[in-house]
Amino acid sequence: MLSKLGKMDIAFQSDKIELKNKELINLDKFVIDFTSILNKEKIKYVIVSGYISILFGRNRHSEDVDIIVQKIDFKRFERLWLKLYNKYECIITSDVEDAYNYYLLENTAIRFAKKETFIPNIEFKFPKIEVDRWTLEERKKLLINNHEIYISPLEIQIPYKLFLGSEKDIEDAKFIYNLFKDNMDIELLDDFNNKFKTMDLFNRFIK
Amino acid sequence: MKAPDVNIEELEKLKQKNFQERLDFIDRYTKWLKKTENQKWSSQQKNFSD
Repeated sequence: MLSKLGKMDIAFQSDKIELKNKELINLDKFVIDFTSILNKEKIKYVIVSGYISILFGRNRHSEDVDIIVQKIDFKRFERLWLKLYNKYECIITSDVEDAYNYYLLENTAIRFAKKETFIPNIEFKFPKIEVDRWTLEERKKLLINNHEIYISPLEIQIPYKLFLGSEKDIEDAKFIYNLFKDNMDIELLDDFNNKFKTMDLFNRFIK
Repeated sequence: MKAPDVNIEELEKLKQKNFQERLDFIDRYTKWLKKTENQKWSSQQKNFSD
């Protein structure tokens, strides 16, 4: 089913969301470039948290972009690391074995930035909890000016932002809800609000 | 579609861990800023801010 958001050129289809004619900001270009390497390596990932609202037009900055990446073995990670190192470097450790064994396998994120820079950076992590695994499994394909990236289902973003609870997070949640409330699975959203214990915040600030 | 089971205690711990990781990142970033010429870091900041 194709559903459009008025003049804002976003089309919702069962298997993808399509955002056309966006004037890309530098952060978009950074994300598209980084994720294109993951796409080429056929590594499953999902973008979560703050960048999603920025992507759809919220005017705020974010120094990092959170990406949950499927848990891959060391060999595959090393291959990805070498591909990334043409343009990027890990700003947490320069040692690929450290990055894998002492950070990722210990549920600590690593960060990649363009060489000789610090911001923006990609916060790169393996799924840590069931909610992460669900988000990765249920990720949505987004075509942004025909570039393919994968984002979290919006129904979990709102309760998760409310759970985080800062003013910035609540504003992000409201922004996403206002834009997409007619295109979301409201039962799923309610289910997450109940499970995250964020229904009161949702009724108070978002609805 | 149904939401998966959510363990709030686990989620709370993860929130604290992520916060600590962000604080650690700020330590790294400020160390980097202090050893980087103004022109270089501010040029990156300008590019980042469009």
